[in-house]
Amino acid sequence: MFKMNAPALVGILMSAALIQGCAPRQVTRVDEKQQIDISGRWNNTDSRLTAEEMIASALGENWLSEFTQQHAGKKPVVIVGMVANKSHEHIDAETFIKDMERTFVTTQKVRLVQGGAKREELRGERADQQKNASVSTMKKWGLEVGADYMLQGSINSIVDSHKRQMVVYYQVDLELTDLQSNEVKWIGNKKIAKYVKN
Amino acid sequence: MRYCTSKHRFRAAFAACLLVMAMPAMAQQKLLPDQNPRYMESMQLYLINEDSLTAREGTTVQQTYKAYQFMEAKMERREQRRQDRRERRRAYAYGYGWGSSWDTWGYPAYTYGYGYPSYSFGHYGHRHNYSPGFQWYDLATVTALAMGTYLLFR
Repeated sequence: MFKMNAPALVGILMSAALIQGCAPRQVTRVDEKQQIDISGRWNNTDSRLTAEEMIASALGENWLSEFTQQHAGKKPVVIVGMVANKSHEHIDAETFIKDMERTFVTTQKVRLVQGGAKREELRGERADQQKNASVSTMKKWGLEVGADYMLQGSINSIVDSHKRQMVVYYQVDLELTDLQSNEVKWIGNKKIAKYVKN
Repeated sequence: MRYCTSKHRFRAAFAACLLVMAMPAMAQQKLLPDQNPRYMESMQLYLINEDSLTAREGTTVQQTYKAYQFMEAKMERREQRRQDRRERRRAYAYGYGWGSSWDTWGYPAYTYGYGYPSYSFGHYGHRHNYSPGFQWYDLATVTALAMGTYLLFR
């Protein structure tokens, strides 16, 4: 029979620990559209699916054509407002909101204006130009484009978990509201449900 | 007297100037069809708080909640137990000396059962008293053990 003494066993265990500790981390570049789910939490695939659905809905629904008809072919101007993450995970909406903004700009169907901290920075630069830039190049105050609509949203989740099984449901809602009348013109939503088994 | 007259004239001229300056603003305040006549009250209110109201534009406000997840809760409980054990060992280690940090009010726990540190299981709400048992940090125990070993094998 195979017999192993204690020092040999300790040596093998220590070698295994050493090898494990020295194993190099392997990193592989993957396609951004490849679906890789590791923990079951919100990930890049969820963000991408949300962006695709929202873009298709926002650019394909009636509010856009209605606006252009009512305003003699003028494109609507949109400002991005606040997105409230009321889910159980940390989710930054910027990943899919930026995809939407980019599509708005590249398709030239919707005009975008900056808001929040970026707008403050722009105004700061404009203020600086009043003192430091040449008169012919300094930008004037009071000529910003006023937005027609504000894009706001929320992220909600429901978690149902028992023993090793869990169902996570996310609902992302975005809405476009007329700044003059407060009338909601478009609501887009994306629902994602995941079944996670540990 | 002459001074007073000139003063009154100055005031009248100043008021007239103000009126002329205010004319365009007053013209702008004409109501549009169906516009609420009290809109200025609301406008003034929001103009004061404008900066704070627009500061969160383009951001994601995190209002997350802690969901119950069976496996995570289990791991948390396990980690809590480990932490409890560590705390308990530490309490044993330092629970004897004078001025121990585990003594209430900083008084020494010189009698068994009085002032002896008892550990509370945080969120579980139970309280247990533990017997001290063997303590490596207890110098007397270590010394006694060493002397016993020496006497046994000499």
